Amino acid sequence: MDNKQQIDQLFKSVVENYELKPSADVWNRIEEDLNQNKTTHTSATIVRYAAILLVIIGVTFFALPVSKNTPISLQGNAIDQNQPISALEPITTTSALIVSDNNTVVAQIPETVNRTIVDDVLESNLNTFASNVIPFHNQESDFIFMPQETENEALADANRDIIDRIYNNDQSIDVFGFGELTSYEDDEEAQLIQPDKAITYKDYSMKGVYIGASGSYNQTSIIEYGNTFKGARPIQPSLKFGSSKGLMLGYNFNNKFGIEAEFIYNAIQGQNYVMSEDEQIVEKSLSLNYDLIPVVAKIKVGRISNITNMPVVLNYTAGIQYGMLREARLPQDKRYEETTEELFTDQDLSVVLGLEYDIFVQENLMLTLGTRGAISTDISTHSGPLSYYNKRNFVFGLRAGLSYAFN
Amino acid sequence: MKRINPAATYTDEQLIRQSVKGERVAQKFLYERFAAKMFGVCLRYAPDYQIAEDILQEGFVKAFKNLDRFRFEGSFEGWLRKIMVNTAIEVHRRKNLLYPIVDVDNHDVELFDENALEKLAADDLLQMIASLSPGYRTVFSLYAIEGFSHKEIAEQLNISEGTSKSQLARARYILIEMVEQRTGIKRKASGQ
Repeated sequence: MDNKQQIDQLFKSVVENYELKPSADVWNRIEEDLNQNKTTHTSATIVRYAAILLVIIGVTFFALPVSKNTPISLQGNAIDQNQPISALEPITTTSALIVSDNNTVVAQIPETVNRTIVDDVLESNLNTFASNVIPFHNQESDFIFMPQETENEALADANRDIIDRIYNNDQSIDVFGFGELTSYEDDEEAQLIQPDKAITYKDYSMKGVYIGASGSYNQTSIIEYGNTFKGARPIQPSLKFGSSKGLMLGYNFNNKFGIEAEFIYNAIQGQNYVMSEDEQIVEKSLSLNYDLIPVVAKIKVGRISNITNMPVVLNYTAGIQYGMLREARLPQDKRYEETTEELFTDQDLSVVLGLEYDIFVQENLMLTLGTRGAISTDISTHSGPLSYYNKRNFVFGLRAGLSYAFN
Repeated sequence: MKRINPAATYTDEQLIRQSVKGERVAQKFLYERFAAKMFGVCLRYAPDYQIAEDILQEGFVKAFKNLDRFRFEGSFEGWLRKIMVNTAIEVHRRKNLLYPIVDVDNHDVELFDENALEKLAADDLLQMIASLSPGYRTVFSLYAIEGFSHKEIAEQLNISEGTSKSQLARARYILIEMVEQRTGIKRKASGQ
């Protein structure tokens, strides 16, 4: 034992087990504090979780206004696509028949067929229907037939005739049917036309490669393990935000499963903290800039949005992220002054979890919106003054991207 | 008839479990059981009784609020002691008691005759520690009594390791001078 240790030891042995009863007042003060602080769960934590919840709810509401009875999509060759379908409402509750202007009835489901109408009565009824129901109908375009209640006798007759033909499987017309047909005579016959011909997610194929660009905005922090109480430390963490941008390459095996890799260039991570220095309260920022390569698997749940008539796909993502430290910007802080060693590891791995929506805005163009979080392996080199505890990057934020799908 | 102190009939664990539920009586028994020991800890980090009591109060409030985190794995006393030390450091920082630290030359400390210290009571030694400037007092107590490393002290007090080392050396030097004055016993000459 050298001299120094002996001095310490002697003091320690005398002082360590010293006991003294504090004044009786102390308990009263403790009791007062406990009464005051019954509900002080750290409000910052609550606010944080509320924000996360709001983001998830917001994204969900934005992406999923999907009706059960999706109106038919007018794609294909039979119909002039410029014709505003919305002008034909109400469209959702009855069967429909598409008739082209040259007296040809066109059906698209289950297959496109053209038949010549040989029946004069039908032709005249269709014309009646056309001239009464669809004001903007002209000889150049197609229209949709909808049986509906009317005071107009000629129109009612035309309705009746066409519906009779539908019920009787008249070969001169074909049915572009969806929804439920309600007979004006007898509801029991309404099932003649099969419902559920609306386009569903299954009608699209997601299989194939896509490429895109992405950006994210994150709250970043460095989580430290091993410290008994963070609140007891002289340094208080504060919020730090960082953004990143990247390029992504993905492949969907089918409509339910896909994989995606991304290269994120110079993502800003790290931690802000507040401390007192020279009798001032100051905020410091520790910035860690990374190049990141996340590889995630995606489980996809898709539907057709009634806003876009295109698929909206909810992706549950999980994967691994490889991180390469580009640069560590240390704050002006006494603790770093004597540091010449590397404090943070060059490379780390993270676990990534996310919830993202792919929203198709065009046939091959996909907008991605969602949230992602990642937590890394220990990034401390365990050298230098700050290295006593394990440290991990924790990043959570919003992510958006735009991709082109080759399928 | 034998008088029984009701607090003494409960084990630590029983009191802790009741305290977690917010039972005020259990909390009071728990406080009474450990207050004197913990006050002894707090005194090592405070210049006077008043501030030591402030640390004790804040430490116990913190302990009661976080009591559900105690997993009955280590000793409760050790857990409580850790909280008191952390609270002392926090109070110390908050009050800006850590003077701007100037590195001092390392003083080689020479050994006392052991009899010298035996003549001093714990009260006297605590009084000496209390009379140190806050930075010296904190570094000395953390290192010599709590057994922190310089690395840990540097991190906790937001100073460099080198500063922690020089503070400790300076604190030892001052304490020795005080012991000399109090006891009238001189250090052994170097080299003996």
